Amino acid sequence: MSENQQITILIVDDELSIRKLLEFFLKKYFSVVTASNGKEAKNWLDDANYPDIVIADLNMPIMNGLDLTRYIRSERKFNDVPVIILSGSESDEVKLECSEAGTSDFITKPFRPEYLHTIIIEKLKDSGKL
Amino acid sequence: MKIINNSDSNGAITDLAYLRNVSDGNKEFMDEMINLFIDQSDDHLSSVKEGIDENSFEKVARAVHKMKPVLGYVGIDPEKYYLLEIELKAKTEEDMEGIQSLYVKLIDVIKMANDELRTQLSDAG
Repeated sequence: MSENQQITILIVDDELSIRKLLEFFLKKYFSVVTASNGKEAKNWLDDANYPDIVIADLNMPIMNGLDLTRYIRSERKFNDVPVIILSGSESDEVKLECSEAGTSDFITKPFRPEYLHTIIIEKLKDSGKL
Repeated sequence: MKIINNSDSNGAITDLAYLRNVSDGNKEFMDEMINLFIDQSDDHLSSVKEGIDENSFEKVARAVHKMKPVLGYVGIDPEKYYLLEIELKAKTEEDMEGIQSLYVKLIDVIKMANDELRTQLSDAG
């Protein structure tokens, strides 16, 4: 299934194994770019690149998922890019914090592949990218 | 390397159903992820130990939190195998001695899990 290979997903996670799992699963459907923390992702974004959707871990060194989301929301050119936060936490406080930062959705780890794919498609449709 | 056993036996610590699902049963990728888990397990345990040695509940909580999804992809239940208990104690900042005891048990779990996972790998073909 490669019907959406023109769609670029930016995956941001400091844990190599989780990054690999996400990349392996999602590259069946989309073009995938990976970064190991928020700063690396920000650098990629600042280098005239544009993702259709971002999937970021919440807790990362150097720049976490919340700060990356805030940066994306602060830049007009990325303002409509959906950001999905992945986290091992299920706390309502954390979810609220993510929502306030401007994330589009929140998924707990370990991610359920089919559910993640469904949410991505939904967010891409919501943002007019599909 | 090839995975030689697709059935996760009863009583096993690990369960490759999740990895199989994510990878559509791609054996090469599953082997890669199993090897990665084994290779990184000492580093993950060391992060927890570092927190214990520094008497830092925050570091312990962060390290254990990071371990949860990693253990999850090879099917290790974080609740059954002490991870959630360690995380709860660390978040409530109590009982570092208890955390130390659970950490020792966790080391054994990871060792057994790695042994199990190695049996899933084969150099034959």
